[in-house]
Amino acid sequence: MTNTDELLSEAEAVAMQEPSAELDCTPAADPWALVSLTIADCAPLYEKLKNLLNAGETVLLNISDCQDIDTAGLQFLAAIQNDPEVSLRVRWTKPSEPVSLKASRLGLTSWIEAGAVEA
Amino acid sequence: MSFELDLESARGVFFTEARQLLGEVETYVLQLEKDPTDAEILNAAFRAAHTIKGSAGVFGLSVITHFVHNLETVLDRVRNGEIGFDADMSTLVLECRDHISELVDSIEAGASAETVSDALKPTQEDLTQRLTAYLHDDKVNHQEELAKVQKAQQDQAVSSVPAVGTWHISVRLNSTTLCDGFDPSPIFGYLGSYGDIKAMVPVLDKLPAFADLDPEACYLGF
Repeated sequence: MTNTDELLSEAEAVAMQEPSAELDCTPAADPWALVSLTIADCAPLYEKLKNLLNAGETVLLNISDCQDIDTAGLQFLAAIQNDPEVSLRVRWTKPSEPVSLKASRLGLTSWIEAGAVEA
Repeated sequence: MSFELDLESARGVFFTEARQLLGEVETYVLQLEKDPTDAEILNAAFRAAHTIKGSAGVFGLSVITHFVHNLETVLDRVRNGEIGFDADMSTLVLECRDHISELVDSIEAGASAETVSDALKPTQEDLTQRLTAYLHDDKVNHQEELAKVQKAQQDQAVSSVPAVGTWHISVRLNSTTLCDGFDPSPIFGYLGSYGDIKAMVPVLDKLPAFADLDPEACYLGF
């Protein structure tokens, strides 16, 4: 094994020990605090939500500090709000400015506001 | 132990207060039927819904909290002048009032405070859909906007006088658009640098039920 191989192996080992980056959130404080809601975050979040919904749970997503959201992220929130069964059980906090701005640009403001709970 | 007893006692106060507020909501609706623009009554109706929702939240009665949220949001839009209070809405609010009353009765009788009972579920879903229609009335605005644009185009065709330079741009995206790495949002931002975007109306008719969603596929149109 070369030195490079050893370095790669070490890097891989460290990477495997790193917590899963499935969601960009602050787990210790609030597992649903979404700092980022981009296309890379949507699939893991979807699986997580689907499991909880199947278990009859309700969820409050914290998007008040979300600094990075793209069209996929907004489409995701709109899909929640567009499904009456799900919108009753998944809500979110007051959207951050980046979320509100992006929602406005895509004409999705009323969808995002409808899913927000009051502070 | 005493805390639990106090909490139970406080829940009893909630049920009493909720019924009182629901009675007030009925009175407000009847007053609004006479004067749908009465700001004081609109504010009072909103506050009643807001108080029921907030108090229900304190006691973890999420069935009530979630249902009243949509009603509260609709009433908020009415008092802000975004939508009008018409006869259909009057009927809807009264039906919501009756439904909340039934939720209160059922929870007080021991039904789940987190999941709506099978008996009340169809009514709740129907009312929620009707409330949601008022929350998503951008679609209605879109139709109005579209009608205006079409009329402007017809007028332009008939008249030789140049019409106002308004364009209706319709965009449909491929389902792989987003996972191909293309985000349309910056394009819309860029369009805004060429003039005023009068309205941005999303087309969500391709958006599936949440259970069938592929979160990386694109279902949006504009």
